[in-house]
Amino acid sequence: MTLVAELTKLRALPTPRVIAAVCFGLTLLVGLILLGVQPSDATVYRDIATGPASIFVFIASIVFGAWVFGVEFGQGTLRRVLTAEPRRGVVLAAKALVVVCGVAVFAAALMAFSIGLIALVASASAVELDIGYSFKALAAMTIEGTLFALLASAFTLLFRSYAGGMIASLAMVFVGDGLIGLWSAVRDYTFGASIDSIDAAFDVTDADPTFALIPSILIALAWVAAAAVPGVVRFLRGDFK
Amino acid sequence: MEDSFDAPMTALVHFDNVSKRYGSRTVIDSLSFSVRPGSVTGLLGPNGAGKSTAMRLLLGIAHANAGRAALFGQSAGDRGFRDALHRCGALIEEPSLYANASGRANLEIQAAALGIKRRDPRLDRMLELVGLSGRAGDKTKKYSLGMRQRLGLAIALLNDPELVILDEPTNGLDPAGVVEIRELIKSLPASGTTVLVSSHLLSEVQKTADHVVIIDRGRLVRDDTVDGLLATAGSNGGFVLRVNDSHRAAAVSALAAKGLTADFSADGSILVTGEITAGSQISQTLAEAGVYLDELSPQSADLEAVFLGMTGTSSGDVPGGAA
Repeated sequence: MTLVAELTKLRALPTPRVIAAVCFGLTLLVGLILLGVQPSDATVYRDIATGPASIFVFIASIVFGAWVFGVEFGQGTLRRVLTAEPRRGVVLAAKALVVVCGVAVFAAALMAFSIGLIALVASASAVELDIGYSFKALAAMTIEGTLFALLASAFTLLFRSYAGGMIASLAMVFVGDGLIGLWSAVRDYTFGASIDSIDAAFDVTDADPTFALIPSILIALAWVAAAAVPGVVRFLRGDFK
Repeated sequence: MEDSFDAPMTALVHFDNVSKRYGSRTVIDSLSFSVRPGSVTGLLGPNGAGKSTAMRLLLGIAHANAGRAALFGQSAGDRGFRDALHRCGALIEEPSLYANASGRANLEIQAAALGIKRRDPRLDRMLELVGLSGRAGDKTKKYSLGMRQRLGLAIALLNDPELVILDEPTNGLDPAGVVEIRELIKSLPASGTTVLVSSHLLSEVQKTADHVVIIDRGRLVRDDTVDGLLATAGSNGGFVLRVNDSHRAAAVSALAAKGLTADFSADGSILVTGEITAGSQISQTLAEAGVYLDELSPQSADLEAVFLGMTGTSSGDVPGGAA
């Protein structure tokens, strides 16, 4: 029932729809601009098919991952959630499942839409899109988007704030990761390094993978867990207004 | 005034020596009381007395440091606590609503959490009951506080609860809304719903509750029926009488001559206290003095006076306290 309630929120509340509409709209806009420019280089189509959509998935994943938990803190609705389902672990699990499944479906759908659209635009210029590469990027981004979303969820739980979760996630990705990477012993084990390694494992970058796919995912999940543990403990044991 | 009933076994709500501290501050201090089936119980106390905290402890939103707050015999952490929660509805402080969702969508989310289908007729019935059918499609961020309060009530009553816990349910309502909600609360026991309601509006509690639990600084001050409380407060009271203005001094003199105390009130009436066995004793005394009564009635205590006397709160601390 808790999962059904979480799915009902996806339908009833506007934020997921707005996130999806903006991302699909911007992707469509990119396609239309490319149609106007009509480059002849096949690598341009390949990069445009996956690059902008990857950025949209990255941002949308962080916003959505923070929103699923943050909406309750921001609007004081958690007490309503907990009076319907007092088993707080079940509430956390239902929300985490919505984050994982929601982002995976969204990321795959947006990447597929972008690839299909750009393939269509490329065909108008008699250029063939590298579909094999594009679908490897889709698979990589589906996994990475899910990890970004879980990281945002973890920080949102920790700070009990939607905005706090998003800001902390972006700070971690753009600043914290770099600072941690200054320590040479852990440079290959940062969250960012594991994301790069996932890309490399799918062969969508020129770099060689530091780790295979599964170890890379596990390293990223370890960072998510490290960020999540204090927030989860606070959620399970704490009082709510 | 407590009659004998096995509270832990039969009470829908049972606080057993419950304490709650935030840091060094004790918010609930060894609180014990019960809510019995079929009653409307008012939880009364000045600001900061711990009413909302007590309700949060009961619902498992906050954890007690000591003692046990049980709902249908189940406390937070018990296996049966979830089922117990599903047998009750709650509106704690401000209604917690998703501001960007419509009123109906808010109900649908709660319905899903309780295993009620979206198209269940209860959703429309609840919107009708709280007078929001015409605005059900509007986002709740456009609702007034009163409308939000009504929607909160609809959510609390959605699962036809056996017990409904309401924290300040008339907050923000206009006078007509207050009357409607009061009538709604009073009607709930008839349909099998027990009510635990907190309010600062003492007059509202007096008009809706049949049982009152008064707490102050987290401690139980009194647990009694409304009638029992008022009877206790009124036992030393006297009579209120009115006479023609020109006879007021004579009336006071005549009553004083019989050993009674008669004081002028600000509203022009005279309050008579002392060894009075019946109202006829006063009317006879005044008639013998040639003073004829315009009005004579027993002095009625109100909950505000009782409350102020028990908690030592000044009337300024009791918003809407006029009964």
